[in-house]
Amino acid sequence: MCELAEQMRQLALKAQNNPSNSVARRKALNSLVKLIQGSGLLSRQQSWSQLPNFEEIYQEAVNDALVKFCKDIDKYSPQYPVMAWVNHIFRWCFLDAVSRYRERTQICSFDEEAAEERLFKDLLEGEGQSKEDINLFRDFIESDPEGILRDLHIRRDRNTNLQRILIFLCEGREWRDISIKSGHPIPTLSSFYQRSIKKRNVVEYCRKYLQ
Amino acid sequence: MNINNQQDSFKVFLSYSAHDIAKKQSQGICSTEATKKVYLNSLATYAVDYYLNCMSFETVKDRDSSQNPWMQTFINTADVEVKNIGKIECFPVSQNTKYCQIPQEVASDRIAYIFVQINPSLDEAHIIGFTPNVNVQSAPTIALNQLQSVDNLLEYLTQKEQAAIVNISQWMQELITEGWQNLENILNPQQLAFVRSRQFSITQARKIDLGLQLDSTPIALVARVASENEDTINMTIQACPLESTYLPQGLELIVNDENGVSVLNATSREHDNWVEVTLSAQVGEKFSVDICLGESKVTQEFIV
Repeated sequence: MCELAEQMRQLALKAQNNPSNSVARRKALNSLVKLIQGSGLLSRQQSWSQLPNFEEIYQEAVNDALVKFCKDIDKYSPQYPVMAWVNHIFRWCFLDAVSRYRERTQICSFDEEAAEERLFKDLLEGEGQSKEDINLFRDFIESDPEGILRDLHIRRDRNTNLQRILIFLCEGREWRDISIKSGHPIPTLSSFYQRSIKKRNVVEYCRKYLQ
Repeated sequence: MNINNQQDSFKVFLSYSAHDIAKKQSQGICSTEATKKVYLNSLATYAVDYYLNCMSFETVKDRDSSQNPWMQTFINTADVEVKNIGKIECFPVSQNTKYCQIPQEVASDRIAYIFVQINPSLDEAHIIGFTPNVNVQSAPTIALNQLQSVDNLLEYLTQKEQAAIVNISQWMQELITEGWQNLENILNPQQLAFVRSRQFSITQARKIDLGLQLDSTPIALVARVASENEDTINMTIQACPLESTYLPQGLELIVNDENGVSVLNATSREHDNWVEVTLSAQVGEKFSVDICLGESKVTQEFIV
């Protein structure tokens, strides 16, 4: 036990003694966080254990506490055990995670699910609905009411535009296929696609017609 | 193998904030399979982003205004952009996965591929390792037991981060940033005649590629420095073509101050051999230079 505490203290000192953003500090923090996670010495926050969804809140707070711990490593005073300081931060993060949990919108509905299958079933329920959505989406890209998708093209090749790529993708075609059809290599197509779909006017366009 | 993986790995809880984001991002219009893919991609991205923040790397968050769940579902990507360094691709894998194929559409501009093991109940992720940029032309298969460790990842990224900011005072002490070279090593004699000048004590150049790997426009970014007095330096920053006589028309050189506000710019016209901007800066001042051509942009940060 004492040995572990000392090991943690040494790592914390090592992190402090190296400049921020140096490899040495980052490696020390990396090892230190792993030690903390595996130590079983994080406070159990027992006074809160009756809360519904306690486990979820607990895990969220652990994440928050460790990130804060790494950011504030320079504030740690080595005369105290590392775990005392971590748990001090953890307590505040836990309170914060509780209140954030309560403020969350109710849209997120899979709080109690654990197994992957149940989670996805919940997420995907109402497939009939989603078929309708697919048709709506296809109509949208095919008609491209304001011509925004057509106007985004790969350099001077007006034929290889966002609309055409989307139609191919909707048909379930592979990128390799689209590459052959359009004569552009996959990385060119894919970079173009990734950049285009993040454009503000494209996102707003989707919102306007699809939401 | 799994046990080994987990020992070297870094654990991240996937709690409600991770799932809230994943749910929001996977609300696109697509098949069950694609929705699941986007959901897992989002969890993997969350874990990597969390890990990088713990290790004090600054990540660039997509603003809400650029989230496009409708179209994101068609492409199997999960990238995290690290400020000044570049984009990292995250791959969610299950506990039984032994091999992973990097799809070609995951583009050529990633600096690393990080593998994230997600447990079946989707509440825990382990960053198990990474592989540096690979040639995606061949859609390589990666064996997960041969990944480089998380410790090496820290080294790899820190090195990239340090190379990303040019420290002019280090140049004064003849410590040249990785990736920068003497002009003679980059430009041909005819071009040197164009850009040569005696007013500057230090001249360094860096080759940059605008555009995509297969269709790129190689450009030399040339920085000349002269100290005016103890706290001020004068600088000229130029962009010159590397494989042709003229710059492509419409190439922009933009200088941004520390807050990202553009303060200077120059644009190439038809048949320009170079474009340049001249500035003076105080010790401790930070600024960045964007080199833009059409959709492509490369940014170089400087600190005096």
